[in-house]
Amino acid sequence: MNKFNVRIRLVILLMLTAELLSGCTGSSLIPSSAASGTATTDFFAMNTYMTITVNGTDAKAAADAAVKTVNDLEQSLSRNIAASEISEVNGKAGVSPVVVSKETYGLIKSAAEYSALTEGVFDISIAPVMDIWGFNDGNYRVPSQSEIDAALAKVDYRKITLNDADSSVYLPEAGMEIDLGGIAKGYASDVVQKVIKSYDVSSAMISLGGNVAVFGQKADGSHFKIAISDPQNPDQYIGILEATDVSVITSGGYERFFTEGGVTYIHIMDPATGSPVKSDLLSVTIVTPDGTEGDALSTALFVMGRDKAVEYGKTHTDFSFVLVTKTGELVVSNALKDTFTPTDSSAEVTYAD
Amino acid sequence: MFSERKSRKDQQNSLPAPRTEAAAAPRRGSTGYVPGFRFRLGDLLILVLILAASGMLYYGISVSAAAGVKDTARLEAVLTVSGEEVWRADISDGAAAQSYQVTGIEGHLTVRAEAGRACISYSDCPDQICVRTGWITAAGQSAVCLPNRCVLTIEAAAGNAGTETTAAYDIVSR
Repeated sequence: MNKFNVRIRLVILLMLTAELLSGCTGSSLIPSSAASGTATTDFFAMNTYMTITVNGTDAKAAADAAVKTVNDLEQSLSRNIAASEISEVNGKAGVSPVVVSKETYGLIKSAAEYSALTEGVFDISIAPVMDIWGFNDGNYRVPSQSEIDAALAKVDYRKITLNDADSSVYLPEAGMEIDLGGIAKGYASDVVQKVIKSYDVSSAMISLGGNVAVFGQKADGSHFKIAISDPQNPDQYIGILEATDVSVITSGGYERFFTEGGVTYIHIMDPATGSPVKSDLLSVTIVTPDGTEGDALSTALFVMGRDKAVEYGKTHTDFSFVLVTKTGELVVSNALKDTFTPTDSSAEVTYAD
Repeated sequence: MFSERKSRKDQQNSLPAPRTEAAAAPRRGSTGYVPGFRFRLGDLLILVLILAASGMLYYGISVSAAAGVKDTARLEAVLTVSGEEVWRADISDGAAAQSYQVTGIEGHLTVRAEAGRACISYSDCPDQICVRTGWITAAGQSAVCLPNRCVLTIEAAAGNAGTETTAAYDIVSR
């Protein structure tokens, strides 16, 4: 009788304890990062280093799908992959139109539209010029003027023939080439966001070679803090933007350039001269919900230079910008006044309409 | 680790329970929600002891987890080539300076690590973006050599899931 009683007591106590413990385990025994479900992945694609962080229940699956999406896009959009749709279009320049996938056609078309919108300042047919300066294969060199003239003769986005009916693209002259390098990563960030959002996730932070896209909130409910790299000190930043549901895309001459005979040659080409652009800007950052637009416009506004860029911003209001000039001035869209904080509180900041 | 603990708890729950029902069912004149069981001082004592023990266990775990996140002095520099880790160095306060040479996809590079910072100090790649990146100092920051597929990152050392960053920002637009 006594023995039996003791047994029951122990069993009940164990059950009680287990119940109490399970109350604990459900809420707080697990480290918070595991409870929220975070997946971070980094990889090389599109000739850049990419990092993707996803938070939420299906974080891992979403991040894996994002990587696959980028790799698939590269396979159809890279002009350095022989079997890509872009290589096929370029290979048939002066020969025949090439039918491409609806997605690739859509991107080429919007790239051509940004070329028109910026009056050729951003030109997706600039590839022959990029090549003679060695920016495609890394064999940097200063070409002769006759080489530049010959390459420039192949550059004109207006000659590209687009056919909506069969989604075909035709480059009418031999030697013409399109290169989506100035827009593909922004586009990829848009597509990747859609893919990630199709999973049960709460937020994501995407960097495709420094082209940033974020959505949702951080675990503590605050916005993401997006630093904008300092073009003069790459390990520093000019300021921090607190935002979400945006792409933040920066172009500048400070990362890819080479020096020869004491002269610095940057990788952004001026379609008017066929040479590296001589901008009064060090970098342009575009803040917009549309990463494709951000990528194209960051290059375009850099080529335009400070005053024309500000002017362009006045007439096209669907994006915001942060410009860094060679004199150290920051030109910031009014719309970013409350969300962008310069690192140097004494920096010369001009707010633009 | 957590799944182990959970499975043990499940065992506690599931194994004794059927015996309780079988044994207690025939008892008569019982009160309370378990037949024949009356709470005594001794039971209370045991319950308090078990709770205290589990409380201490929980406290220990939560304290160690918090320490991993907050202790910014525990940093490591990690070098990967094509995604594979090839070198790891302690860069906590007081750590000795060291360097490491690695062969990447296209050439050679040298990384340096010392207390609080690390950098790619030399690379024979054409673009030199990695070298110009300079010193990285906070968990989550990285220096990347694209032609060599090399990434030097700073991680908060073991015990931290790696999602915490001690930098003033979450991500860099460049």
